[in-house]
Amino acid sequence: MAALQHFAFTAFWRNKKNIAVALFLLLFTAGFLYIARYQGIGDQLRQVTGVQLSLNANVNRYDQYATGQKRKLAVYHNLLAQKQAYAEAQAGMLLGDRSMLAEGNLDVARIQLAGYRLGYTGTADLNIPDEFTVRQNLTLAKGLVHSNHQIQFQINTAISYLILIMQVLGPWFFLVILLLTSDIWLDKQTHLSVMANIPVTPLQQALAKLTAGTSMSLLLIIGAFMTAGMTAGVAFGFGDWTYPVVTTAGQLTTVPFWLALILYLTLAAVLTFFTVCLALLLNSLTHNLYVTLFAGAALWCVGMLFPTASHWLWFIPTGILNLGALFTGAATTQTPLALTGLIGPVALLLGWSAILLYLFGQNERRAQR
Amino acid sequence: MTMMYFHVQWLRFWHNRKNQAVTLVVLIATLAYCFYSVPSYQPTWPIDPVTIKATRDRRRSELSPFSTSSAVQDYPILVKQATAELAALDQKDYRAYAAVARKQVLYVDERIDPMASIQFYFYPMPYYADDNPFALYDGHYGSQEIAARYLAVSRYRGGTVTGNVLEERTSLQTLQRTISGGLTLFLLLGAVFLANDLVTNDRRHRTVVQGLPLTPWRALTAKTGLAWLATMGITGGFILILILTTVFRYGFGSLGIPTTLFHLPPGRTAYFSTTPLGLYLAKWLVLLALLIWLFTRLTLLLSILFRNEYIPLLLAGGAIFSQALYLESGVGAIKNWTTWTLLTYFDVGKILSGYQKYLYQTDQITFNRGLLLIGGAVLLVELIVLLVTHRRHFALVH
Repeated sequence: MAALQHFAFTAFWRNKKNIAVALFLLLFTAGFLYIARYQGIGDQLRQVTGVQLSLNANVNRYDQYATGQKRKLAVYHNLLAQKQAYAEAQAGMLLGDRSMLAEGNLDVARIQLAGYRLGYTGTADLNIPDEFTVRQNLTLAKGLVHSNHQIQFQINTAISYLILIMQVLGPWFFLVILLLTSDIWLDKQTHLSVMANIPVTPLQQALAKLTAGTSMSLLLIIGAFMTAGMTAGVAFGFGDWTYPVVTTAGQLTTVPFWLALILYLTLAAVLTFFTVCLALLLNSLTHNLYVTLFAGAALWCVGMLFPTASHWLWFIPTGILNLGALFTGAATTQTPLALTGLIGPVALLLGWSAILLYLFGQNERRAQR
Repeated sequence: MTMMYFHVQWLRFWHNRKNQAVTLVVLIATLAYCFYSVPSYQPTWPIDPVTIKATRDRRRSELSPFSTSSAVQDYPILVKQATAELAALDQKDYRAYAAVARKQVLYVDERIDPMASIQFYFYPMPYYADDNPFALYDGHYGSQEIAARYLAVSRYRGGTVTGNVLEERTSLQTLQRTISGGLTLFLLLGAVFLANDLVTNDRRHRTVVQGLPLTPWRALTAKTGLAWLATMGITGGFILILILTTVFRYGFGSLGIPTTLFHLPPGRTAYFSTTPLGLYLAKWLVLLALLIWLFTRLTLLLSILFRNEYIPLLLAGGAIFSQALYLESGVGAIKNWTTWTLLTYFDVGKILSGYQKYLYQTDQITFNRGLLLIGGAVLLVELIVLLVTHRRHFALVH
């Protein structure tokens, strides 16, 4: 059994494709720091003009639109108040007064949420963030004001970079793991004469593949985070390990960064396990790497491109394959899973893993007969 | 012999599960695009009588002797223009509408100063979406573009001008919008996906392949031609489906409809010229054919060098989107080498509309330079392929 385990591990990491994917991911996590700073990603200072322009345009557009009907004054005042509250945040940013910036952000989020309570009548083409994003901003702003953390508005520490990586790479981890494991059950096809004569049961083989695939993929994700953290840490210092990060526990809440990282990696472990199960089943059904890849990606695409459909089909894992959205709760909002926090989606993924494994076993048994 | 080899390869190509899967994915994506994205398209400059009327009425009612001086000066003109627009729309005279709307767009555009802290006039809302910090510059670009196009359309005598033509909804214009939106990049990705296992698949039939009386170069060229034809076929299929799903609803459009091209001559003000849509599409096809050849050949070369089918997929696929490594608004004006980088020229649609010039802020990113660079790259890859395949004891499969 140990030899089998060893074989599964070796087959996984000596695969040229997996080496290429791993190198690609590690290089990306290290290099994205440079791109993010160069392009001003996650830099509130660079977004100031844009937010201001957008808020002004909203007021003007609403002013034009509301003519000829009874003026919806409440909404109009709300839009004006957003503009004023943002001016405070902006002043804080420009003066370097971080508490003023945090207060301003809190006010903007509060007023935007109040706008949602007004229904935002007649605002179809205004540029207003969706309600979930507003709630998320509000939770973060509250967490920052109530704790004594210095607000970060640029990528200038390892922690801020890791938070950015969690959001940016979150949607892609599923595809990366799928790429890694998409040929996990195919060596049986390519080397049939060898594999058929190994003196172990198919169950043991599948178990060895499952542990190897899950642990190695998870190791790569942890490695990616360590690379990112070390790159930014060596370049700019590590920063505040207790900085609040928004996640969900029935309702939106903030947790300190170290806890967020642990939770995130736990979710990554569950997602990895699910993906390996999916790859096993699709491999045994189709005997083809690319079909496995495309079928898995199709599931993922539904969540990415048609979020409304994925909210309707909450019991099928589509939206929750996006690790970033799963962690913040955006993937489960407005579904029955929302109240369960992170536990519900995890249970769902594990349940589906069990179903996929059962189907895989059935298919293999039928193939053997 | 080469033809027979090609024929056999062609049959094997379409029996390959991966290629069937790629075709299916492209088909599903095409259908989703045609039935979901195209009908929900909202033009940035819509023909919207309701808003024109509401804005006109508001301006009219706000006009009094106590208004700000700019309002007293501007509003009567704007109200007059809006009334003329509404009258033209009433008579369904879209040429007249284009002529008046152009004046109004330019009039408003002149009164927006990106440097001023308070704005009295605004561009359409999409320019401000996602907190775009360049909203006013993008809006100015869009205003000048729509003004140039409206002027050309109002003088266009090649066919009827409908609202769909003005809003770019007709089949050919939808195709052009798709191309400008980055269709080329996805087609190139498809080419890489189709070509990546052409060489490595032969490993399974080594004895057969090694016995063929064909030089490796000829075999490789047949494979390249095969993948090139397949990708061009897929492109043709996409265009056909796109036309079939839009032609009955919005009309076919015409190859003579003017489309805009941005110019940024150094030391002078930027301006737009117009070219016929047919010319745009023809230029696109030329560059697309060259690029697909380049990527197919490159993928095959990489799969020979690495003896693996996944590494070329990652490398060539990554190269397609690698422009993001250095792209930043206005980068071309500072770093001239970015205008000589091949990666800049992959998104052909943006080269042909001149948007890439605006993005890089340089006049040098043109069709001709793209042709030069891509052609040069094709020749270079051909040379490497020639050298590699003519080494002594070289075999396509080991």
